[in-house]
Amino acid sequence: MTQTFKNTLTIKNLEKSFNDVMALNDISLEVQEGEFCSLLGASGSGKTTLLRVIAGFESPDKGSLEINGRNLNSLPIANRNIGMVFQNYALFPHMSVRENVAFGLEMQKLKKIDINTRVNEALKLVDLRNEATRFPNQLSGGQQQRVALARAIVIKPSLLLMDEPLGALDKNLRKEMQAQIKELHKNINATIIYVTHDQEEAMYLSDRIVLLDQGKIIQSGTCKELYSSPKNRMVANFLGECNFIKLEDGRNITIRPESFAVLDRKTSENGIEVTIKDLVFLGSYTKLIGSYNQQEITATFRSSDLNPNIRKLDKVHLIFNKECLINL
Amino acid sequence: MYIKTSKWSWLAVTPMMIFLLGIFVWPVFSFLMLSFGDSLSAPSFVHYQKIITTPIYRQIIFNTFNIALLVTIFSVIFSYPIVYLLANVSKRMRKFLFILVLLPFWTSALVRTTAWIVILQRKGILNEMLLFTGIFNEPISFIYNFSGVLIGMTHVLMPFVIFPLYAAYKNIDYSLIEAAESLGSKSYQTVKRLIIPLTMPGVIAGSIIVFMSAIGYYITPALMGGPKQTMIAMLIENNINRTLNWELAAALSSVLLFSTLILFIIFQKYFGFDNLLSSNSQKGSSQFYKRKEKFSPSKITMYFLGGLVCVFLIAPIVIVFPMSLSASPFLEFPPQEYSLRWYESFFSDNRWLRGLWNSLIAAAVTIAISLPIGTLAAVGVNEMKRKTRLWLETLFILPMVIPVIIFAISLFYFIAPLRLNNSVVTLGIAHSVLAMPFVFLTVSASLKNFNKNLELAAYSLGASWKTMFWRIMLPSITPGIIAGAIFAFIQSFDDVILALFLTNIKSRTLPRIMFEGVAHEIDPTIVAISGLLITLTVLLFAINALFASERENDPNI
Repeated sequence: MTQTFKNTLTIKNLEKSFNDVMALNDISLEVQEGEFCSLLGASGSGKTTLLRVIAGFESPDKGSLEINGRNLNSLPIANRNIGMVFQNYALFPHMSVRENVAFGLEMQKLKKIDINTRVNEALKLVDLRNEATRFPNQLSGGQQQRVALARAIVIKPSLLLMDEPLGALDKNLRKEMQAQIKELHKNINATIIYVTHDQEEAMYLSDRIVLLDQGKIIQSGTCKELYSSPKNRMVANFLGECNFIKLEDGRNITIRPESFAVLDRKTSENGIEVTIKDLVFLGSYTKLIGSYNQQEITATFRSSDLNPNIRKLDKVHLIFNKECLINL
Repeated sequence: MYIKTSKWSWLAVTPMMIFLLGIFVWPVFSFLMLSFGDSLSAPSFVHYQKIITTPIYRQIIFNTFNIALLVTIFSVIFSYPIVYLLANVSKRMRKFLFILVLLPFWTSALVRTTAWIVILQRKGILNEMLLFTGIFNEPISFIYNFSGVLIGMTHVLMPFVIFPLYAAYKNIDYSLIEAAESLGSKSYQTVKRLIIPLTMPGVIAGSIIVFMSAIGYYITPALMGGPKQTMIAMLIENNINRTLNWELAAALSSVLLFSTLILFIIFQKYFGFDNLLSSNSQKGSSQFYKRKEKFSPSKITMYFLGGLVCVFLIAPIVIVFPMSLSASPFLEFPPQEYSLRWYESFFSDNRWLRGLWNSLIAAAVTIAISLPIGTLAAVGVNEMKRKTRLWLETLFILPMVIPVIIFAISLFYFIAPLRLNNSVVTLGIAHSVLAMPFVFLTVSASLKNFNKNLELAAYSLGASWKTMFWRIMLPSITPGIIAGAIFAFIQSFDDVILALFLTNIKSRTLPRIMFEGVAHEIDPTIVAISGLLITLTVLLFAINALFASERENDPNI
């Protein structure tokens, strides 16, 4: 099962507009075989459009799409062999779990016995063997999600596309499903393109994140690259929190909340004196919200590291390491 | 508050209950009892035995079901292309097409039949066109035979399939189709594996209604069929008017009624009648992703077929106008010379004018009775518990379901001894039975859209139920009441069957005079009247749309 998944997707200078609005603007991207690539962005950023163009639901105005060097542009959807997991799962309501999963194989006109074997294999992979005869409306959200996954991977697609597949689940179930998807990716070693607006989810799952805004790729790289060296303020804000501070000497610095250390007196050049406006206890860490020269500063600390005696309206020094500053 | 209103709600439904029980249920029941002979203590089944043992009766019953089945099948087949068209065109175009679909349904049966005869007869438009092209050397008999009945009945009953089918089709989540495509499904496979199974509930719902209505049809088979297409309703009429065998007519009516009721119960159980008329009550509006599809051969074919069905639906209605303006004393198309002489002939002939006057009085009586009683019942039923509501709704809808011929004969049987027949007012009262369900349904539909919180808000601001009703509820259900009035008017104004039994030469209505004319030879005046009646229907439609648009709802009814 593993071999067929290993494919490279190459996208060159893709453009697509709807009624004069540029939904995709000069998108070029290469996704390596076996890579888990997330398209991250706010709604309207073009991430879903990009996915739909790759799937073939929309045709691009310009540019090319290739899988392993084979051009997809003029290939009908039915012949693309791309697996897709829809946001609302799009399970066929009049078919059982088994029939849903078998559908794609029936379209390939495989023998009944082969279909059965592969459906069983796929159901086993998503742990749904006992639910095979049920209908979608008899399943929980998480189970429906797994049927959608099984249905997409059973056809051994050259590429697996997922459009906010966890969007409809509650928070705990999301966490669980994220782990399962990560596990699945490892097991079948698929090339996956995953659309999400949840930066935490993207960071947890992806080898690489492609950040989109207004139809353009803003930055693409590993989670670490995007987090530690964001290209601009937007990227810095989208992944994690960030402070943009104008210092007294006129310098501008960009710093993550966790890069501060707190002291009650000034020990180094690299520190600012803030008045504590609020201390928010969040379990393992505590959030300090302070003001510095009428600017709001956010800093987070391990709760156990924090001096228990500091109070609201205290003045403290937030010290930072020069190496921790983000260069924009 | 609720305890109080529940008492009032029973009071509100009482008039309609009494009216229907007294003028509809009881007469029908007593007429049907005739089939068991004179004494109720020793019921006889000879008439039922006679139906079973006489080959000609068996044949007619078989015919009836056969015709109904074929009409149902054709309605379903023709509905798919037009539903595809409806779902894919722009919003404005869709509204226009909906009107095309509904117009034949709301056009008087006589007008439709007249138009079809004009188009299909041996010297009709279609035959002239076919002869002109040279494909055929001899005219084809389209009417006074099996095809005539099928064309006429499919034409009028198709909307019953189109609406539920459209609702089912529109409710298909477009991502399902995309999912199928991404799994390698070709378009014909998508149709076979997804579209048809997912629209099946809508098709079945519509089919039951079509079949149920078709088995009770009288006018269309009588005017467009031949002797071999005799249907049960015609046989019943024949037994009353010619052979004067009331008991046998009652037995035949029981058979017809029983079949109708079984279908109605199945339908009520699985679908619910009130959903059919207000198809916009379907939740989850279209999930259609606006994707511009390229013109594929299959799409072009479907558009073409959809267009043909539209022509089929609208042709008889459109054709009436040029025909009515002809100067010739014979029906011809296209007319050699235009004139208004047939309209003049209508307005200068006392016979026609008296008929028009009688029709207007009957319609006025119908509205005056059915509008307040139906509205009141809708308001009352709306307050009731689900279970009671279902029972009452079923009773209130019953007059729409039971073949009019049975009701007409029953009422005649019931009031003739009292010498109450032959009066236009009686006719209006009888029409009220047919019209009341429409008022009830349209008002109920607007009550469903009425936000219950508005009512509670009014109470919280200190309003009594009475104040709330007049100042809050009534204004917001006015469009429904107006629609109900329009439907009541049309029900009364278009009726032939009740008029055939309940009026005489003095009190006969416009449709009855037309019926007598069409049954013999079509006088061009009838075509002119048809033109006038279609114009009236379109006008009423426009009025309804005007009021309906105020609530920003699809005028789907």
